[in-house]
Amino acid sequence: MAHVEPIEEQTSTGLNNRKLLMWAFLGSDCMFFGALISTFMVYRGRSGTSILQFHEAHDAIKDAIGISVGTLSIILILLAVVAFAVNLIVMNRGVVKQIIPAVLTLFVIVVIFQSAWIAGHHPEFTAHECTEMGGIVLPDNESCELILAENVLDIPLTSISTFVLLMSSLSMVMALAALERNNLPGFRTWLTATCLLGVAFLGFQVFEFNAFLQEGLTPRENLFGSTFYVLTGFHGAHVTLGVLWLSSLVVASFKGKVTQKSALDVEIAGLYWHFVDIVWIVIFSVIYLIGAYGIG
Amino acid sequence: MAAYTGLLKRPVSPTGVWSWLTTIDHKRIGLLYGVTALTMFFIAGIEAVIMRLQLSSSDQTLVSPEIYNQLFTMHGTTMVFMVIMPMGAAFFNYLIPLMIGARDVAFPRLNAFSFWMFLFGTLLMHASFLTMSAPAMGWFAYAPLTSLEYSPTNGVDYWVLGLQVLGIASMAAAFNFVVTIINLRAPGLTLMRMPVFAWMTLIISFLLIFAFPVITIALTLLQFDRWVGTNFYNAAAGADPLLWQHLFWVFGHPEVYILILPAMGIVSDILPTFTRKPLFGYPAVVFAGVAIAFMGFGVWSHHMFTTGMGAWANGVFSFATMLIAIPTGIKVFNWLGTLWGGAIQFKTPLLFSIGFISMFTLGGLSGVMHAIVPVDTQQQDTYFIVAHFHYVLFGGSLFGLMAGIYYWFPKMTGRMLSEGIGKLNFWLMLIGFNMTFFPMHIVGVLGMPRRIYTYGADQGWDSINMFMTIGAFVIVASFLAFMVNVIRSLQSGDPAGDNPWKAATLEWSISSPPPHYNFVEIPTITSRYPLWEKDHSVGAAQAHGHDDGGHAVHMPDPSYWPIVLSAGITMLAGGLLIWKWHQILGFTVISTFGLLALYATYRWAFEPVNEPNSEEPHQ
Repeated sequence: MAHVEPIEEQTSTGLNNRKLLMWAFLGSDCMFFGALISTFMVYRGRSGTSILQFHEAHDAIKDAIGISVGTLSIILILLAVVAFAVNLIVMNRGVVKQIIPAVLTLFVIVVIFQSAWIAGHHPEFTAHECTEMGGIVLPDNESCELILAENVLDIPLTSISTFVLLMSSLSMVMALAALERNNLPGFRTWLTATCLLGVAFLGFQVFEFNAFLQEGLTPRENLFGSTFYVLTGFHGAHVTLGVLWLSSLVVASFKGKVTQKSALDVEIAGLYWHFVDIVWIVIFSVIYLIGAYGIG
Repeated sequence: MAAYTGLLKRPVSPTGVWSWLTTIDHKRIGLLYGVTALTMFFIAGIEAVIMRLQLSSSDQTLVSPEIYNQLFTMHGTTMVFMVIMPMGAAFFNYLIPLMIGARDVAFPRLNAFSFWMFLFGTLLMHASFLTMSAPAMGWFAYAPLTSLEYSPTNGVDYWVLGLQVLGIASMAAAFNFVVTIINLRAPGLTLMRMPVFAWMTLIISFLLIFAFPVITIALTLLQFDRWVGTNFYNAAAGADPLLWQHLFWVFGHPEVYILILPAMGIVSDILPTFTRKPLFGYPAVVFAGVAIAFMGFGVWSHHMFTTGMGAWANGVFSFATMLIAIPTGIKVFNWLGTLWGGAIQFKTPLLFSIGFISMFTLGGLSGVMHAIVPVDTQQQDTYFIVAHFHYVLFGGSLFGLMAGIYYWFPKMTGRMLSEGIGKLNFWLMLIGFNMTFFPMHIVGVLGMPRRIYTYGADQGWDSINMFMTIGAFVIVASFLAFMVNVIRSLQSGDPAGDNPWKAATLEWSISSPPPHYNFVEIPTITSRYPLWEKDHSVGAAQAHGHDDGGHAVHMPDPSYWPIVLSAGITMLAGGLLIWKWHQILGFTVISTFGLLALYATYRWAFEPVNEPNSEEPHQ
């Protein structure tokens, strides 16, 4: 993001210094994720059993408005996608700045509803669920002994969040392409979209973490908990950093600090963003797909 | 000119304390690294001498077992992470831009950031002495000894956080030097024309980039175990008791090469100067270094032969370990080939280089012995191992670094060190070193275990231990000679001139000490030994250009964001320590300094290279 670099005449390789730095960093980052993923793989299937109490479901928001907030969130996200599509069509008519706040508002609503739901939501846990998850109902009929591991994962939900994150790579490409054509409004729209998709992914992650915690899976509970939270949390920290970086670029563009000349700054941020997305594909496969279907 | 970039005026003065705190000049940063590393060497040396005194005869009570544990842990950690690594960093900071014909590194502020992270990480870890709870679990900190159950004091916490901060420093430096060496070479300076030291720096930078993440993750998992209560190293919850050892040595073995390769580079550049002939088999030396780096990632489990990995794993790692001796041997023969038939001048740097070659070879030979699994099983955790790695790290790395100090001191200060005191220094060090560490082979084979605070008189190890302790004092005497030499030279040493050794590489073409912009005119390179070319065009261009005092050269202004950012990050680690004692206070510290770090990052990112209207700093 530095706008001026001291010694940036011609370089020996013709590659820009900062771009080379980013590639070196990404190589290094592979080792960070590699160590975490290896740890996860080594510890697969080594978690002991936990004992969970049965309890009733409770959903404060659904009680109040009669519709599940999960459903509502998905409807709102779909609306946001439609808004983007509309935005894309009208972009050249100069109403971009009106669309951005609209999308932002929509998005904030989604996040608020999601958080409210997380706070008020308690999934039901019954003897049926217990046996579904491969546990044993204990003689007291009030608790369940089970291995709390891959069986807590909600693959359809995480597939949606994976889709959201991968779409953010697309919008990142569009943002850079717009900037390279000196289309600043387009750049801002697409980069804002990227940030929002990133935040949406984080929202899913917060939701997921909360759901798992309520099901009794804490980082202390067992090895699956320890490895799951630290690996996905480490990735979430990367996404958070990326959102901060990209949103700084959006803000800087309004101050005139990001122009066609700084396409390289955006390209470097994009390299980072795509890397974070690609790593998620690996993590999603290793934790969710391989984990759930017991390959290996 | 008053150029406000925030709360404080941007520093532009070239002198005074503030200029050192905000410097982004690679030469000053190199000197800061060097002085800090020598200070830490002094501290770790005192720890070693106390241990030697404690062991000088049986049933000594000079220190308690608890203190003894802290001493060997901090001695090892300090020597590896806060002496040899930063001493290598001192050399590559100071020399690489000079050797490759650049005015500075690719990212000068990142370079300053590396140094401050290193300094603060060092201070953070040594703050544990203030709370009387220095880490005491050995420098490789095997689980489960590091768990809360077995190490309830916060010594491990200081160690973990200190290493995390030091890791950021090392990685930031590595990224910087990868880009610098790949991208900032002078015209004509192809990779295969670079001085070997530049090559070795490139290689260790890659090693750091790929090895340090693994220890960072291992430490992070340990942090989670100690702060959050996760189960990564908790065998009772089903965890693999060897996970830490694997992660640690996947880092730890490349780390060994990170420690030795700079010394190999230094010696490869010194030998041609004092034999008056080019390095024998330059490509072989370079590619052997690359091969060592690659193979260094495939030998880590030879530290774990006695953990019961099974015959297959032991066999593979035993074979790989013997294999890595080949490129190392290639280098040794190339150095001998360089000496062979040369017009040898026995100056102090050459003496230390020869000391390096011979002592390192001894250490390498005992290393190959450990590659044989049954032999290793016999020697595991005895003084034989201590002898081996001191031959590699002291006889190897430190002799090489001393050679480098004697060789480049004139370039850095403009004054010569005394040859007489230098030779005294060398012979005392060689004799003291062998007195101290050679008998460790013997006492190790006799069965003396490492990391014991004392032993019984009935073992019969008294006299040999007394002999080693006397040797340690000979080493102390050699370093006193070194300090006398440095102080004497700084006060009244002979002026060095540009090229006192008649050396061939680029750093000798400019004045001693070099001007802050290094080169008036970026030279064009046509060979590996540009100053030995007949026309001396490179040197001539520099001498000619001196007239205007470099006024045409634009250098970036100093910046205080690197030190602010590193203070912020280090205090995040400090906040984690406080958090264990008082959660609310800890949280306050973490959030305050987290915000400071974020703020500093933004200021850094948007800081222009030069303040508009500001005067160029000139020295």
